[in-house]
Amino acid sequence: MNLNHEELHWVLTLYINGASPRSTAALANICKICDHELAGRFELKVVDIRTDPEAAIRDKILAIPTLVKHLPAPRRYLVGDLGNEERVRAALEISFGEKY
Amino acid sequence: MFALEFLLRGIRDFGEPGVLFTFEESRTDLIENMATFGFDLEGQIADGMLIIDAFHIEPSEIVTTGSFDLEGLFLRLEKAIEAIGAKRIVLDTIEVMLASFGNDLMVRGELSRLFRWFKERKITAVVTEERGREGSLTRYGFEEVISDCAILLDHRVHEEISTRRLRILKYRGSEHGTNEYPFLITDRGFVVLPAMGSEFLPTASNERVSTGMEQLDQMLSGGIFRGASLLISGRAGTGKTTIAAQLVDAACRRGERALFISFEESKARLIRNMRSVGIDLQQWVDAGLLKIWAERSTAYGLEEHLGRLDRVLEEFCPRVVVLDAMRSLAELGPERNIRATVSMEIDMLKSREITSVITSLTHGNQEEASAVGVSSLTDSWLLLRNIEHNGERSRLLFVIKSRGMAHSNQVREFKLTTNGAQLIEVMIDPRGGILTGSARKQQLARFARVADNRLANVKRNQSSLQRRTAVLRAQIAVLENELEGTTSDLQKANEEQLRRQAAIEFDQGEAERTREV
Repeated sequence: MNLNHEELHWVLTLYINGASPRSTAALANICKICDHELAGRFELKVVDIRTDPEAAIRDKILAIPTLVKHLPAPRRYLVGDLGNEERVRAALEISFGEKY
Repeated sequence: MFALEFLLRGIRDFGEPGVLFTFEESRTDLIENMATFGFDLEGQIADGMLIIDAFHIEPSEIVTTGSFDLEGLFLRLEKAIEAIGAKRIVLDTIEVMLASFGNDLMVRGELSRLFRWFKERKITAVVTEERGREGSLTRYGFEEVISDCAILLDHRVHEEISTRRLRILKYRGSEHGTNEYPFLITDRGFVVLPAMGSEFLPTASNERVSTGMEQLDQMLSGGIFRGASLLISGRAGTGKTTIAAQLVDAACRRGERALFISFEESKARLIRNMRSVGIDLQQWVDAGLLKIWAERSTAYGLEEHLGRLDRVLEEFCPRVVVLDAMRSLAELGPERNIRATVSMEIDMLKSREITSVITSLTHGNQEEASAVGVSSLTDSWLLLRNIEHNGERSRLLFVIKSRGMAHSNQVREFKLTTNGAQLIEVMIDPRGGILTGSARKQQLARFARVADNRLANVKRNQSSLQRRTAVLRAQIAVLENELEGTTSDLQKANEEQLRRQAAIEFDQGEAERTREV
């Protein structure tokens, strides 16, 4: 991929279910990645289906937790607590060891 | 289709609101498609009876990264159900979900939880899925385990004939038919046909239906049973259609509706032909009691024919249906399917308590043989035969069998007159043959002569008897006289004896008295 790293920007939405173990884990995992790997080039919105069920319904989210990568394209749905690091990175198109 | 009908009929016919989650079609496509079957989805949604949620899940967009649950799905379902108070739910299909989220214990667990969730809320759910590969029922092997009921739908195409079958594999807590039931997708939707000899056919009626021919009714001990099926077989020109038409005429006369399916002749020709034997079908057509459905059997495939038949039965509600002729059904499919096809038609009619008449055109000497195959499906069987004797042609009608009839295997001669078909008594000649036409007349004359002779004999015998009687009586009189005479003679003799005895005793007594003195 010939990407200009300065231009990469992630728009993510994480759907969780209150403070359930999976949701907590997912939140922790994505925060870690964002802070360590994406260095400010991201927008992360967290939607709690407990407090805002409408959003989940509107966005047609079936599995919880789900992390939606809106940008960079293409759109991806990462389903689960984000514990599988390799998969998460691949899906988010973050290469190992690179810092941005 | 099945699932959708379950839902939509639930709304339309039972007033039970329903929710559809579809992963297959878009909302607009769905609405359009179901409209062609006569379902008004837009209206139902507007009335708050139906909620459609269409999902487009693209498996390639999904990556599983750890453990998860399907709480999002539950949430949506809950909201939809509560919004309209739904009692029925359809998930069509769960294929994609399973494929996207992976087949693991998680998904199984969630689906199981979902089904229990439905049960708790007393909601009936129909979930569809594609059949598993290589003969296995379901894709992942667990779906039928967590369900209360599993129905398998099958669609086979064989020599261009497509047949659809439905089978109930499992129904927890209830008995179920284990057969394969054929079904159709007609323009009215999903129609299941009752299988032969199944428990779904109504109990036989004891009411009799007249054939329109009094003498035939008598032979049949009153007529054929309502809801029964009658097979009329015979070669071309033996009068099958006429007899069928006569029965129809009788039905219409009673004010009952009849349906005449003619594969052989056009409507106009049928009416004309029947008119020439004195049966006026036109009057019934005009009165709205008779519907003549004439079609070239090859115009439609079998499934379509059955579908159309179902629709006509539903809308017109005839009490009598004639199928003229059965052989044409054979052209709709392979020969060996004719039996299955006819039995399907008969069952369709029987289940609606419609009395059916099926004519069968036979060829050559395999007359009885070919009809036999189908005759076992029908309750009654009339065989028509034309015979030639001394240059004359006569028509014979054999009642081979008829349920509810006293004696089977009866035969009558019949004529096609300007008053329809009329039966006449048959004559048997001494050598056991059947006599018709002029031979019959001769035999009748012979009988008359014999009868006269007998009568004369009887008279003769009677006068001879009288003479003998007189003679005997005279003899009796003489004997009686004798008896009288003999009796009085004996009596006189006895008296004389007694007198003499008395005299002797007196004399002796006198003598004794004189001596003692």
